[in-house]
Amino acid sequence: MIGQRSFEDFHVGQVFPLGPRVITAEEIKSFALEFDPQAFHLNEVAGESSVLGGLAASGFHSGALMLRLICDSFLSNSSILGTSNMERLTWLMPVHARDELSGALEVTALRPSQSRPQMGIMNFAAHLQNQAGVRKVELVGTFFFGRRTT
Amino acid sequence: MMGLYFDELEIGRVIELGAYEFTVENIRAFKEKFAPVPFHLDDAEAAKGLFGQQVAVGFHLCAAWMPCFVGINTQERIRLAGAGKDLPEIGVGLGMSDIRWPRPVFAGDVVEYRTTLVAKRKLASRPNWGLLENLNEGLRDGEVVVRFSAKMLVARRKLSSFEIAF
Repeated sequence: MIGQRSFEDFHVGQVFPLGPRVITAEEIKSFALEFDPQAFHLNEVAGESSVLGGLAASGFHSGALMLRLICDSFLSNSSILGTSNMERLTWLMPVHARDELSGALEVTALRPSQSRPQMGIMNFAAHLQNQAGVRKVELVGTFFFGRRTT
Repeated sequence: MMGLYFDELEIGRVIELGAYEFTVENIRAFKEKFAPVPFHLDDAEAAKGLFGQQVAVGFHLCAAWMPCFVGINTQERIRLAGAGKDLPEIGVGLGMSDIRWPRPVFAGDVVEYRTTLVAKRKLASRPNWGLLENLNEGLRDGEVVVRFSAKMLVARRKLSSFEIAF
């Protein structure tokens, strides 16, 4: 178990593994009921006959799940302060029920904040693929981390 | 898109989607499922953080756009079907970009969402679908708290045999 990561503990090119995590039909439907109640996210038959080709997660669900896998990989045990923007969240392929999602987050840039000396800014690029190696979701964005005071 | 085919979409149109209320309960539930980090889960950590108190997760602000969109979209499809219009197959999103959270959102805030149709183009790779780009915003008391661009597929109107022949 490593201690909490601060801004100083990251370096450009660092890669954090994400997942694996199997997404179930039940959680796809449960998220859809709350946030995206469309037939192809709620019902297997409707999913099959739609452009998604099977019961598939809402894009907002796969994005949120990506965030959760980043938390489980390292963010929950870091000096994370928040963010104010993401460059993009791309849905390359539908995320289907029973997909086993895994991937990686790579640190692409690090710089101290000009306006807040106690804060550092990370740019990253992350992706998730399924068990067959089909890339499904990409997230490119920014996180703010606290810097070590001592 | 709102019961309209790609060919019927008017660029520049602004559509009010309705509101979502952020509550202590739905903010907490989203954090526990998708963003279990100290400043989101713990009051003391939140107090020391950038916002000085607990705030909603940024992705929650994006996700809450969707039930508003689906609600209006469904309403419009029902209205147009009742008026005898034929409806396109429902399309899907391809992604979001330029996602911004200029202000934090707190429990008790009501965010009103709207979408503006920005651009559309036909797709050589998918003759039955067109690509629509829209700008989406969530406002609290008239101030933007979340903004993102999105790309989605919208079904193209099927050509009649007459149109195909000519």
